[in-house]
Amino acid sequence: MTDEIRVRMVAVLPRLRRFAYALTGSTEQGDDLVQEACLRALSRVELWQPGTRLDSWMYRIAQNIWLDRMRANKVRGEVVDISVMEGVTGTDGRAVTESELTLQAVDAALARLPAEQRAAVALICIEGASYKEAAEIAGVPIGTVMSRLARARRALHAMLNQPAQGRDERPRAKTGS
Amino acid sequence: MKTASERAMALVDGQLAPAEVPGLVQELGRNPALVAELQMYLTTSGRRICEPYGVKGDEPVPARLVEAVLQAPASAGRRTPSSRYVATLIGRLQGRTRVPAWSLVAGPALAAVLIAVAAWFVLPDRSQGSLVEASLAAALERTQSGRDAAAVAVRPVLSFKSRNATWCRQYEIRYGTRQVSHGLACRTSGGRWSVVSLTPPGPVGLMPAGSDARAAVDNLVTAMMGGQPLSNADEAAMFGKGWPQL
Repeated sequence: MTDEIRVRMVAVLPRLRRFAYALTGSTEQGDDLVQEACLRALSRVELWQPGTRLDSWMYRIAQNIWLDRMRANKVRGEVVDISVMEGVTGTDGRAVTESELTLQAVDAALARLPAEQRAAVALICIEGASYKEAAEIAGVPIGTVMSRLARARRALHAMLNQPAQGRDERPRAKTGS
Repeated sequence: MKTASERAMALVDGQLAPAEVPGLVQELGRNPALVAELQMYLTTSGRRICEPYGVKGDEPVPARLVEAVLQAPASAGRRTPSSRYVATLIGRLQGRTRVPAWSLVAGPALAAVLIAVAAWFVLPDRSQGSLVEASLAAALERTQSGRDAAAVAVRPVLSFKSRNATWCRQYEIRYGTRQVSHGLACRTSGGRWSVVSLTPPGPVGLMPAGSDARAAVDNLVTAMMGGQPLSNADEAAMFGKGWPQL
């Protein structure tokens, strides 16, 4: 059984990496998160119920690890990578939404959302989870997921449409919800 | 209770219950602010947000992650003889144990083929296809034989029409640089790639002739093939047509 789960975990890795990247905004940090999630999943493999979705279970583990880290960062004081902020305000936001959104622009906008909202966007908009699946992964009611997603999209829309600003006028990124 | 704005969002996301659509349409007709909300959700739809992330999903998975999944100890609660098989295999790769090489693959490969053959004839549409994840399906859909797909290192080996009148593709999945699985998948009437056989991961290039996992899948392919394998040009045509049902 464990062998089959390992092979299935490998098949989930590309999507789990994309999800982790959306959460962390960094390939390196995302891969660290994926590795930690896989190790935790294997160490608790008896908790996974055959017949349920392995990918959802792994998304949940990765999300919980990341939320714990974000909460710890909030307590310790946040460190914002200034390069993360470039994408949102370094270009004319209207031009960005009128043409193709760039990875940098979306990354930067996501980085400014509260953690739970960012996770909702990553699961539903990027990974294509249904509201119900996202609610199960997050362990909250569907209504909570929908309101997080609606607030997140309103904020993303505002950020991706805002005109260019000077570096000194950039708002600080948020963490936590 | 969903707000009108949340129902507009659900409409954009394709997750609004059909019964709720007429009411929302009526509300949109008399509420310009709700129309503006709808437009806002359209500009932040999954397709628009996801598009830049498509490239992240196609990147090759680093070997360290694959090896972490394959080699990390699992909890004691579910260790099975099959788990011991992988542990033995890894131990052998690391030079810690001495077991006959043929014993590592012959048993599981034979079992995999027997189960696969039974499943293929009894359950022609194995829609559960637990090992056919999205990345594998994407790789089989549009990757030329002999080339690696970007994600999960899936390499289709050959394509053919089966005696059951379905399109099938033999493939390899490489886990990092040291282990490989050999598989066969066929396209269902629903347009999905369903795994017919997939061997457990084994070491690359260490199996004796006649007892390796690739040979087991080769035999299955020979038994199922109803004609010649597709040429590169034929495969390219299939990519364009989306593997039409036979």
